Amino acid sequence: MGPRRHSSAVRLRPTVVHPSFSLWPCKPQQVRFEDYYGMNRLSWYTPAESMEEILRQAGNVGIYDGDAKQSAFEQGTLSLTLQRVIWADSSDPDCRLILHHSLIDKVERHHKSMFSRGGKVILHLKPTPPGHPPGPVAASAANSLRFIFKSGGEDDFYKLLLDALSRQTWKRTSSSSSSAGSRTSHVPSTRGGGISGIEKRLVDQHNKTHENISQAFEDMSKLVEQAKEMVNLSKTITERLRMKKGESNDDETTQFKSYLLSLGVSDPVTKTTFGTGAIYFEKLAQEITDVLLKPLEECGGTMTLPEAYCRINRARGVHLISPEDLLNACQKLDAINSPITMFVFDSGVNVVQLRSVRVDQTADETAQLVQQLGSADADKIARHKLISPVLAKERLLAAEAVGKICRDDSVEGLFFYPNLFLTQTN
Amino acid sequence: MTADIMAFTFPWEYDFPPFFTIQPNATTREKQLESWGQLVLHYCHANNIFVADVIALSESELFNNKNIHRRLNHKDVLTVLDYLESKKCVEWVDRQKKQCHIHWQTPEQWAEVIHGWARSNGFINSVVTFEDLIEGDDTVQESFHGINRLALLKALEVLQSNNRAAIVDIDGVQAGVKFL
Repeated sequence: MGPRRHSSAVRLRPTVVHPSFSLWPCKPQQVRFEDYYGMNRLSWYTPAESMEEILRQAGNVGIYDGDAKQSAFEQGTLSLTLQRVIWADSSDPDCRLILHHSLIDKVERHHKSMFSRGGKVILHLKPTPPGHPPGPVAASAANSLRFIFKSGGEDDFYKLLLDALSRQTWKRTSSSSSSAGSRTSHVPSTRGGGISGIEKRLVDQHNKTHENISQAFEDMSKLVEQAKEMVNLSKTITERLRMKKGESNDDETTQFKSYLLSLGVSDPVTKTTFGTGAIYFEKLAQEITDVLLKPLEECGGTMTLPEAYCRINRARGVHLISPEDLLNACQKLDAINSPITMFVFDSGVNVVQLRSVRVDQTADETAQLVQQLGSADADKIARHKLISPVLAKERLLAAEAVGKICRDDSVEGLFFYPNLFLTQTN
Repeated sequence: MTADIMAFTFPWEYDFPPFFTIQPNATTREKQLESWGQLVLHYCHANNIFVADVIALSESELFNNKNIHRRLNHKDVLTVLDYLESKKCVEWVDRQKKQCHIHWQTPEQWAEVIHGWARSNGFINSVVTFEDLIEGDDTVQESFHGINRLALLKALEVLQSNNRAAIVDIDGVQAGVKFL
């Protein structure tokens, strides 16, 4: 088909054309070819209007028209820029072709199979616009082009091409250059203009940087949005479970429910909103109060700091805080008159507890439990009170410190008994 | 007093496991050591122990309750005995704290017991040697039989200060007593 027939003509064709010819887009030329062909979208290489950055190069690439098996452009180097694809023949450096991104409609990728010569990227092309610059092929029957990557590299190329297409940078440059071109069609706009040219370039540079940055942040905000969706989802499920209350007493359901209930800080306090100073920690302390108040009431009023840490971060889901942040925030609990306070046991164990919880009161409770049980170790208390063994031991030690119970330290372990030394009279 | 000696029973604490762990709480510990002190003195009283070997005492039933599988370890036995020393009921024989005198009665109490014995056995106005008091045939049935010489002397000094006895020197050594 086309390529083979025209191959000799291609070689003869001058590669450097007259500037008025080369500038794209330019004034309408004679339209000799039909619109619905592939190869004819290619045009001869012309220097770019402004600096072009080569995003990716792949060697040993062939260009094929439609489904054709043969081509005049079997081996060359393919370069991708933000505006176009440039193909340069390996054996004839003067034979260079370009395909502008504005002509690409859709891109497909096919991996290398056993029978193919390499990975393929198939470009579905838009109709040829009027005034398309001349190319190697006047007419083509196909509406697509294949790039065959004989030495691989199609994946990266494909990704970057999609990226370049989505940015549509040529729209801006083409509009500016077309307006410039209408005035001085021979001189590329950015080349001239002294100070104004420099200024323009600076503005372009600035715009590009700005675009890159905002794009990067767009990704971030998408992530956060998704996390928010998760939190919302958990809320919906919680609601649904609440409505279903009474229908199922499944242990699993209850447990799941309790997990979900402990989720859900929809607007977490972050360093970006409150800085890193005292205000941040005070706000965080407020959040800790909101999140932990209910669980604390449920678990008897005291919780070790590691447990509190897990609960806070599970509730936040994103924007996790560090243990140090938690500790600092807990130290602010008193400053904000929170109903929760931090307490440090003599042994150095940090806990958060309800302000209403009094040490002597818990000591009484613990002593009573020991009395009921006859004797108890930390494990037993933990099981009865549904608290962690660490906390149970602290409670026992606290009760011992006020003389409510006494210890029996033997090979069997550390057990505690009601303090008969002080209560029993002979 | 004699009834006590005859029917020695361990106190309730002896069957209370925490009794065998020295308590960290100061108030509780004070109470516990007090109980231990009383138990040790009662036990020594009941068994007429004046001089105790610490190792032997540690291994005795006093510090071992086989029923509840608890024992007071050696270090804590010393804690108890040191406590008794602070109450002037124990005197260490050696620096290594291997042996001690156990004063389960105060010199005043001994003074009463000894004077009572002298009175009821017709020894008033007669001289009795220390040896006779400590290991003589006449005192075998008495609680002070086998008493430490120093403890005896202290008791007799109490009597002397009350003018109820006079310590007699034999060959320049305090060796006898005349009950008045």
